[in-house]
Amino acid sequence: MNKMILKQFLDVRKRLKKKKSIIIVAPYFNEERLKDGYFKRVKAVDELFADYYKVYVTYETTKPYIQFEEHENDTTVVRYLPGSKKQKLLVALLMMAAKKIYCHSVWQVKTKFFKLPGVKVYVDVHGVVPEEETLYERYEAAQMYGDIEEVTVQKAECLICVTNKIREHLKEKYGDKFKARTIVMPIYDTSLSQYDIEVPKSKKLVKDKPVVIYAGGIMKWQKIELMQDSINKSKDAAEFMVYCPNPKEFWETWEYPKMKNLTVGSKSYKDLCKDVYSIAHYGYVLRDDITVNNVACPTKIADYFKYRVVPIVSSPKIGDFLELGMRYITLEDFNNGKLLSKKELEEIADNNEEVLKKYVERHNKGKEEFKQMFK
Amino acid sequence: MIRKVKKFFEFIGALFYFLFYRIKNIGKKKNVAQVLNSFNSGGLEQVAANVYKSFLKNGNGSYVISISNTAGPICQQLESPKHFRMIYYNFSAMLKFCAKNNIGTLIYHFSTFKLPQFKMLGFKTYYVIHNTYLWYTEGEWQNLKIKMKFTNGIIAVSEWCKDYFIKKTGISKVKVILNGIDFQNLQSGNISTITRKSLGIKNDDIVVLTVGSYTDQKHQMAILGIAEQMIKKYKNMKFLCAGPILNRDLFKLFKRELKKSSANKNVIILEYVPQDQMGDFIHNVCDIYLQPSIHEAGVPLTVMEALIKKKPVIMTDFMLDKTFPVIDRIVGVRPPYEDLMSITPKKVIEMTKKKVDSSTNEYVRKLEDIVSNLDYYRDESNFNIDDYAFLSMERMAQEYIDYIII
Repeated sequence: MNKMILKQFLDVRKRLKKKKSIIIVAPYFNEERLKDGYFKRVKAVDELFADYYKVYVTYETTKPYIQFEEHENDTTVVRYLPGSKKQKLLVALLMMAAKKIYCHSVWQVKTKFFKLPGVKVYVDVHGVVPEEETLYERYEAAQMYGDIEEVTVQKAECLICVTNKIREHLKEKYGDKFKARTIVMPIYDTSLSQYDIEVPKSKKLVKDKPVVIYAGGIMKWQKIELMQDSINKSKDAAEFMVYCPNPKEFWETWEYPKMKNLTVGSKSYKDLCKDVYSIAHYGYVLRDDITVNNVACPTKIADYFKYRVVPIVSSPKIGDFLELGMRYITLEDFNNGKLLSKKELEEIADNNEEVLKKYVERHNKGKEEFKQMFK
Repeated sequence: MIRKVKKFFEFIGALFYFLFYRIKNIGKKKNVAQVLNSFNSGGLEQVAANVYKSFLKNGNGSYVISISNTAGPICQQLESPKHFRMIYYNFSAMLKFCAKNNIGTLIYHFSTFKLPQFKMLGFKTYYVIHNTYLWYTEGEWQNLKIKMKFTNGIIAVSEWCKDYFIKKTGISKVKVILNGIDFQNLQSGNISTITRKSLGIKNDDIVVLTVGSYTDQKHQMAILGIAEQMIKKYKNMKFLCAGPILNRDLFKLFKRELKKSSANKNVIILEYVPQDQMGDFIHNVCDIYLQPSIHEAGVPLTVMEALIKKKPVIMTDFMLDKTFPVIDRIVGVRPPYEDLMSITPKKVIEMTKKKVDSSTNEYVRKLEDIVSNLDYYRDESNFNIDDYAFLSMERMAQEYIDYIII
């Protein structure tokens, strides 16, 4: 082995043994990556390990040898080739030195982690990986991650679930085999509160019409075509605003005549809060009634609640929100012009603000349990 | 040699694993699995998926095992990815999967992978005949005949293939369970992304739809022969051929012939139509359903789907009167041969390349009749869905549940 690499390895191992430390199995985040929900979660968890020496282990590498990168906040990133036995051995030795591994979703777990002596494995369950792989038609991967998930629920020290629904789903799926301890810690980025704006109880109509918004990606599962159909059907009933990272993609699937009351663009989160959420009455959250969506934790809904936007849903079974008492308007009613009265809009927004409080409480409780566990 | 030794020890391990789980699960209700060569898309896979769903609905643990690693969109229909396993032709892997999930009954669809071995290990095994296996050699029929001795029951999906199977094997104890479809799913499926507009079809065009994979038996080439004659009279007639390309050479030939054909502008080729969009797709795009197959297992699922969607169907007559209690919307055309027993794969390959054969004129004549009666078929008051209850999945499910011992 290269002397330089050996030196770096021994140094990281020494620090792992000496300090309060943890191995985090996940790709490391940066400013650009933080637009993605997965990395937002990685960062949020990173912040909870503020007083730890953190070693991120990732197979994101362009080099044939193991790399050790030093980052701020007492963090080292180790990049390795999972096909190399030697590099895997070095990573295993690091894990054994830290004694604790935190994996960001089943995607990062290897069944061999559970065989490392004295090592406790914690898994952050962001989503249902085998079901997601099936949805994306990667069936061999679905099978492989299904096997890993099965071992994980039996042998992990703790599963940190983003929704209670995920926990229930796994418990139902694995029955008696489910042995791991669980914590429910929903995604809630408290740092975003810096952009908070006072929202009036009753929002003004724009050109005598309510404002309907969509802010998010243009992925297949976000049912953009269904939303476009709804916009076209309700074109006389509302003012529409769509904000997505790439507006061109929105127009690619638009097959209706252009509408004057439809604005499509791109905005930062800060501007969305200021210019869009604060004036909107309704917001689309269209999802199929499938497991992947039923257990998900879309941060968009929390934003809607915060800004008193009533969700338009095709299926209300999205994460824990229904369980917490979410009220909404169905897509069918909206398309049929059965819009809510001013009073109903206010009532639903009030109700959903309470739901948000419960959601934040759940987040804080989860965070507390998390901190206790890693004290 | 090393591989063989390794495999042997792997098998011994699997055997102990199997025994361990069997002992552990004593007294517990056993589960059932469908066994297929692949689980991608197609009629056979859809039937297996429907049988899987039927047992699941009945409260049984239900699974699907694919012998190869070929899987496709049909997997989306399973309740959980946990219910599906690809075993890569590995006996030990299949045994372990069955042991872990307490599977005691295996329903083989066309595949016969290690069927006798599983029977000897105490499994209940059933074999489903999905087709008239014209391509089987005498040796393969003999082989199948031996394997059938290790089954608890044999099921045929139609009188047509039961008849052929009996003639070939001499085994007469065959139960016919006609395939069924999920009416509910068909009515409440997803909105089809493929529309008349996206296909460039006008609203007043007459669309003749065929859904079937590009294989020798489906005989898409016949559509060209029929289309060339029909468009002389009906310029606004469009022939839509949808289906996955399983035989690439045949598909290429079809495309070459289409290019030369006078019906070039009237024939539209489509690949896969997602099953969850099929109902809406047939409802909005199709006027008449056409299936000019050389041979079939009996009744293709898409024919059933078209019937439920109130579309008139014209297809090669495979004992339709024996299969269907109601045939007022289904028009049969004599197959392009006298006796199915005289048909060999070689002959099918020759026939499948022909645009015109002895059936073409009858197809054209009967298709003209249907066109002249389109208003009758479109009139909702002339259709009673209850008449077609025999096509339902509930009926099929009940028959499987009654017949299969778990």
